[in-house]
Parts: sequence; structure tokens; C-alpha cells
Amino acid sequence: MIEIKGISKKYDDIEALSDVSFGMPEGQVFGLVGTNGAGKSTLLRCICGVCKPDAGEILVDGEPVYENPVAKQKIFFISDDQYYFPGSTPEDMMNYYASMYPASFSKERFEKLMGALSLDKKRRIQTYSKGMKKQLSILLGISSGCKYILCDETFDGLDPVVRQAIKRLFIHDMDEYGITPVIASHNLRELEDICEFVGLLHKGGVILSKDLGDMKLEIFKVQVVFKDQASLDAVRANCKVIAEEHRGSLITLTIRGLRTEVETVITSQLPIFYEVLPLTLEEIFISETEVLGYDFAEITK
Amino acid sequence: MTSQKSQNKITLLGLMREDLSHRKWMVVLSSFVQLLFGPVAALLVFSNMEAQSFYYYGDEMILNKQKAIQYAVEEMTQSYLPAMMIIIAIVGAMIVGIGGYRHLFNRRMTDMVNSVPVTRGKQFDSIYYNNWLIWFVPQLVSTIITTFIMLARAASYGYAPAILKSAFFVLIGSAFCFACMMHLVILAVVLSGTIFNALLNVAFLGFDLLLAYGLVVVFCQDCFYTFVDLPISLSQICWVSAPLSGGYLGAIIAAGVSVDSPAGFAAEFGSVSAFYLVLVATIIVAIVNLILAYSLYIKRKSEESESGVSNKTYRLCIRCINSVLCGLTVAELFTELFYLNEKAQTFWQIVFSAVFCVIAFGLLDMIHTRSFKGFFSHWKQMIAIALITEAILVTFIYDLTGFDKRIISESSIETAWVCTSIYGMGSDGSGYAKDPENEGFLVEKYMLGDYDENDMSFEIPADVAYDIITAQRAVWKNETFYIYNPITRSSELLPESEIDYPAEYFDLNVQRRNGWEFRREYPVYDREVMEEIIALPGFMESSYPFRTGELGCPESIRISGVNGDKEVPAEMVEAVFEASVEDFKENYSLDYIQMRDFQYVYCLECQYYISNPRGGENSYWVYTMNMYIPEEDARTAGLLDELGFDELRHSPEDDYYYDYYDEYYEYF
Repeated sequence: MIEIKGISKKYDDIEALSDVSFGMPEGQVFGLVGTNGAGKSTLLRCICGVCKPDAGEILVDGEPVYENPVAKQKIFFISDDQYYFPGSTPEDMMNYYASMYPASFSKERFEKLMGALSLDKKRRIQTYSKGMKKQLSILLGISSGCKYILCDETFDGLDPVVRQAIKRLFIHDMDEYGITPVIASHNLRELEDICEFVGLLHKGGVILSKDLGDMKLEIFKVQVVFKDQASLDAVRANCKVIAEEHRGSLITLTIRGLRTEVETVITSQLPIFYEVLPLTLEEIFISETEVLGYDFAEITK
Repeated sequence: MTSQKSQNKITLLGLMREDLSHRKWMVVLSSFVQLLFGPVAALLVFSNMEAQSFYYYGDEMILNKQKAIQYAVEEMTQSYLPAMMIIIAIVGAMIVGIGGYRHLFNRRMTDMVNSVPVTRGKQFDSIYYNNWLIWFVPQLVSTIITTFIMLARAASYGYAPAILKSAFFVLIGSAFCFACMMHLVILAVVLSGTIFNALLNVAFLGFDLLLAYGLVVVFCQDCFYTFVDLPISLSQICWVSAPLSGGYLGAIIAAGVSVDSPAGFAAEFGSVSAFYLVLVATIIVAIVNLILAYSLYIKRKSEESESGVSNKTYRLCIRCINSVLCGLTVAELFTELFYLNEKAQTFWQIVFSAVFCVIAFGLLDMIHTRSFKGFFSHWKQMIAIALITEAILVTFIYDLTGFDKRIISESSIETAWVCTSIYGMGSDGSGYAKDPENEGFLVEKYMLGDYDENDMSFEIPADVAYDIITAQRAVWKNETFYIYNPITRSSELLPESEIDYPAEYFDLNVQRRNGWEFRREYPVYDREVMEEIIALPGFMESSYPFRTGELGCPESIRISGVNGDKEVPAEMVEAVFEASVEDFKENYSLDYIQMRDFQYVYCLECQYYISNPRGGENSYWVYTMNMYIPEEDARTAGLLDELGFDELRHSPEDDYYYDYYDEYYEYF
């Protein structure tokens, strides 16, 4: 398990992370979502030991990670723009990472996966397309045999077929080798398909970190038509309404709380019509960040 | 758990192998250069020398082949190899120092390197050791091959010990130089986020102190008329300037001087022990540079890559120091490049030093922050630094420290020495003579005009030293001569009639009772004080360089007069100089030694004839000095007349008036 305990990180005067604490359970795909500049990449860079937090600590399976090769042996960092040596081929990079992860890197697996994705290991990487470079970085990460694979915007630039293949690969390796992919992305629909656990970052802080299933049980959307304003006021008074939208008499409410309790409150007002809808991860994200003032509704006014 | 750890552990050797695989081009370059300038050059030198010996000597080939081999060995061991290997070491240190830690200039590469399970310390070590390997292994191979080539050609002539000794010292010397330079480069690289900043930092760390020293010397010389020298020498200041001291000391070691002729570097450092002191200090500086580089590397944040210079303290220091240096350098250029009168010069010095200080400050800020907006980002500091620059400049120009006005008390003087500034009656130039013990090689020797000032110092009583310090001085200021009274601190214009050569310059060196040394040069105007000094028993012998015995053995001297030139026979050369010295002793008086504006009967430009022992084609004349023989030097003039030089003689009735100082100023 990766434990993040009150870490903070500043770049000069810019606060990238502020007292961030949460845990990443092993054996699950962890999705790291956040607004632009929320500190996702910084957090990943701290977890893999590239950056040293100004405060707090990060433990990987109980061991601090910074400058600790034992802990770092368990982590492979796939950056959003992976570096490859000038003029190198995938084979060169394979040899490099094989020497850096001598105990766990599997050259056979790498070559097999390269073949499966029709990538030429003798071809210079600089001639690869952006998507092919992404594929290569993922294959290097997978072949490293590390327990934790940190992926920063990894699915960007991959075509849908490869994206699905990579997802299947992650799922397979989770089952087979017990890896824990940590995926930072803006593409919430993508994450929703694969993630079981989600951490939500905004302005350097964690808004929430939960099991995606639990998260969806605690926040949902209700489309309702009331007879009068008093009924709406009663719902507002008894439920934690995060967002509200009116379209004629149809009111859409985003409510945080247990579904049974919310339904009890709504039905007690005898609505003309009501329907409880599950929220997508994207909707949860928007709702949660709107509450914190991350809203650009004014842009069109 | 332990076995798991050790299984996962990446060995230093493995890391080095991996690093080396990405720096193959450096290995190839290093090998190519070392082999080209080592064995290949040795083959060429030996072949050429042998070919020349055949060409020049024909039937005497065997005898002269030995001579050719001797020259080839000496050329290789004493000159070529020490110099070339030091140059290669310096360039090599720059390339491997920057190339090895290149990931610090690229954020993505830094991320990759720092994300793998290796400590930063181990990363640093693996690159550092590889830097040595990349340079040293080819150097070692090259030296071994070169040594074998030289031994194969020259061992039978008895040069094996010299060749082996040279190989050893070349390796040691160039390794020393390489270490000094590489440590400085690594420190500069670790402090930088871009290659451009790294190169700038190499220059700043390596040469700033030397530039500051040079500026202080130049400003003292320009602004203080009593200034002689700083208490710290240039060699000593090089201690902390790794590129220079490393290269300089490395070359000395490579040449094996320390073993053979300590006197060779004693001339540079004062004494053999001073040389070793400089050597030790340089090694300490190199080690400190490495320790600093290592600690900064370990603590270096990944985000510092591509960010110019991130270390704020270092950035501030470099910005401020270099802005001041830039301002002062520009101010000094005004004195050197433009012929302005003193007031205009002072004005423009002040204006342009401020302008260039501000420009340098802003530019450095831009370079360090990698932003055009950075120019005025520290405008308060910029103004403060410009003001400091002006304050330094004005302190020098107007002598606000009272450097020239300082008077020490007579009671504080423990011992004092003086030497005059008139050296040997107008003799001039540096002396090169054939060394009789090393036929065929030119060695520098002291001649009439090239003396050791320490040998010429004459101890004087404390009261005479105090008289010199407090005597009236003739000071050139604002294009006018003034008489300055140091007691009353008052100045008055020198009368027009006395403008020509009003002062005698006395170089005074005082050891004070508190242990401090005080050394100044006083332009004494007071005739009584001058006569008091030159009348001191033994002063003349101590203060004037009569060194006819050290003239070496020139084959002949050519004397160029106004009306032509002629050679003095070898056997008469010494006699001419001895006569000149005798004349000086006979005529010795204040009027005589101050006599400059007089008519000469002989104006002699002396040259030694140096013959090439390998043949006549490369024989040549070496300029040594000028001699001016006035009528008062009857003995010298008479001897030259006797030798048949009377056709070169000119009489006081001739229109030609040879004024040494007038000629000097016209020439420049």
C-alpha cells in the first residue's frame, strides 16, 4: 500500500500540493483525477521519488520512498512524456530498464508484448509516433515487474483499440501478478471503466479519496417535479443539495447522502414525479469541484 | 528480506556499465585524440628529426642521428607531451564533466534518472568514475604506446630513464590537471539547469577571482602612485582558480620540473616550498569543489533542470560580483582604449561603469531566470550594486582610503630596504643568452637590465626610511606635475623649469614592529633626501646591477648605432660592459644618475648572435638591450673608438639628440 501522509510541495511561490493525505490500496486500479494544475503529476513524481516533498512523508509498503532503492524497486513511473535516450531503440531502453530493475524486469515479456502490439524493437524510437512512444513506455512499465505502476496521462494519444488492450493488460497483471496501477488522467470516462479507487485533487489538496462504488452510493442525481415551492424547500432543508438545475417544472438535484435517506425525504413531499439517477465519475468530479468554486459558468455571460 | 534486497541491488559497476554504454562517443573521441596526439605525434616527430639530420649532415648521419634523437626526445618529453596532454586533460574534463551529468539539463531525463531505484549518490559516483575512465584509460594506453615508440627509437642512445620519467610525470600532471578542471566543471554543472548556464558558471567560478585580482592591481597601478605590488602574488591567487592553477601546476608536474630543477619554478613561486604550498592548496580547492558538487547533487531538486540557475544564494552572489567586475572592467577599458584627458576620463569611467554594471546585472538575471522579464526583476539590488561599483571606482580614483598619503611613524619601523628605480644606466630588455652548459638551448638569464629586485635591495636606517616617506614628492596628476608635501598634505604646482625628471623613485620595503610589511614606491623630489640615500656606503653596489660576469658566452654582439651597425668581437664583449660599469662607478653622483636629457656619443642596440648547432640556416640575432653612452663615460667611449666603432660615433654638435624618455613616449 502507498500511504501519503500530509505531504506538501512548493515550486518557488507556487503551492503544488498542500497537506495531502490518503492511501492507495494495493491490488486495485487507483485513479488520480483533478483539475488542471491540481498537482497530480507532482504527486506521482513525489510517490516515485523524483521529487522530495517539502513536508510529510510517503510510504511504500511501510518504507519511505525518497532515496530508498528498496522501495523504489517496487515503483515504475511512466511520465506523460517519457524520456528515451537520443537515437535509442526499444531494445536499448529495455536493456536500460533491465539493468535498473535487475530482479524483476522480464525481457521475454517485453519482447512478447512488443510483438503483440506490432512494435519493432530495432527501430529508432525517434521515428515512432506519439502513440507508439506511449505504448512503449507502458510496455516498459509492465515488463519492469514492479508492483506499482504510476501512469501520468498514459492513455492520451492511444487509439481506442490499443487503449482497450492496455486496460486488459492492466487487469490481467493485477490478477496474475498483483500489480497496482495508479493512473492520473483527465479522461474520467476512461478511468471510470477501469478504476476501483479514486482520489480527487483540486488546487493541491485532496477533495476525496474513496472506492468508486462507494462514492457513487453517496452522491447521486434526482430528477423531480414538486407540487409547490415548499416541497423543494423542505428537501433543501433536509438533504445536502450540492447542485440544482431548473428546466420548467423539472428540477435536477445533485444530492450527497445515503440513497434510502434521500428517497425518504423526497417521497415524504409527495412529488408528482421523481427518479434517482447514478452519477458518472465526470459528474461527481464537476459537482465536487463546483462546490469549491471551480466553475466557469460566467465565461459565456 | 536481506537476500531480496541484495538481489534487487544495482551494483556500482552495473551502473557504470550502463552509463558508459550511453557515452560511447566520448570514449571514441578520447581514444582518437589521445592516440593522435600521443603515439602518432611521436612517430612524426622522430621521423622528421631523423630526416632532417640526414638532410643536414649527409656523411655524418650516424653521429647526427644521435643528435636528432636527442632533440626529438627533448622536444617530446620537455615540451610537447607535457603541454599537449594538459590541453587534452582540460578539454576532456570539460566534455566529460558536462556530458556525464547532462541529464541535469533535461527535465524529462532527470525524471527518468531519478525515478529508477538508484540513490543519487550512487548515480553521481558512477558518472564520476566513468569520467575518469573515459579520459584516463585512453591516456594510459596512449602514454604506454608513446613511451614504447620513444624507447624503441631512443633507448639505445641512453634516453630510457628520461623517457620513462617523463611518461610518469605526464600521467601524474595531466591527472592532476584533469581532476582540478573536472571538479570545477561538475560543480558548475550541478549549479546550473542549462548547458549555457553551466558554461557561464565554469567561467565565473574559474576566473572571477583572477579577474578581480587583476582589476585591483590595475586600478592600484593607475590610481596610486606609491603602489608597487599586492602582498599576494598572481601565483598565489591562482590557488582558488582551478582552471588556471590546475593547468599551470599540472604542466609543471608533467614536465617533471619538481624533480630536476626546483629553481625553475622557484622563480615563479618564490621558493620550492611555496610551490608545494600552492600545489597542496590547489588540491584542497579541487577536493572542496568535488565535495560541494556531490552534496549539491544529492540535494538537487529535479525541478531545477531547465531552470537556468536555481540556487538563489549562488545566483545572487554571481550576479552581484560579476556586475561589479563588469562595471570596473569597462571603467578600466576607458583608461586603456581612449586617449581622454583626466577629467573627461573620470567622468566617462563613472558613467559607463554604472551603465555596464546595470546591463550585466540585468542580463545575468535574465540568463539565470531564463526570462526577458527578469532584467529588472531585482531592480533594488541592481541600483545598490551600481552604487557599490561607483563607490569602489571613486575610492580608487580619488584615493578615498588615503593610500598615497599614508605616513607610518618612524618608531614603528624595525628594518627597511630600498632600491632605486634607475637600472644600470639605461640598459633595457630581457636577457637571453646561450647557456654554456646546455649547448643549443636558450635559457633566460639575468642581464644588465633584467635583474632580481630582491638582490638589489639595500638596507637603510629607519630614519632614512622615514625621510623617504615624508620627503616632498613630485606627483603627476591631471596632466600636471605637483609637489606634494606628505607632512602638511599640501600640493603646489611644480615650476615649469623643473618639470623634466623632477623625482627619483625609491622602492621602499619596511618591516614594521607589529610584523606587517609595508612596501611603497616614492617619487622623492627632495634633493637632500636623495643625496642622503645615494651617499649611504654600499648603496651603489647594492642598488645597481653590475652583472658583467653573467653575460654568458655570446658569439658576438652587434651594435647598431645611429650611423649604422657593426659587430663587437666576442673577446671584447665583456670588456665593453666592464668599461661601462667602471664609468658608472666613477661618475656616480646624483646629477649623473639623474642625467637623462644628455647627448650620447654612442646609442647601442645590443644583440647576441645565436647559432643553431644543427646548422647555419636557423642562426639568428637575439635582441638584448640598449646602451646609451654619454661623453662622461670616457672609458667605454674610448674603448669603442679603439675597436673601430668611431664611424658610428656622433658628436654633441650633431643635430641628433637622443633622449631616452622622449623616444620612449614617442614610440608608444
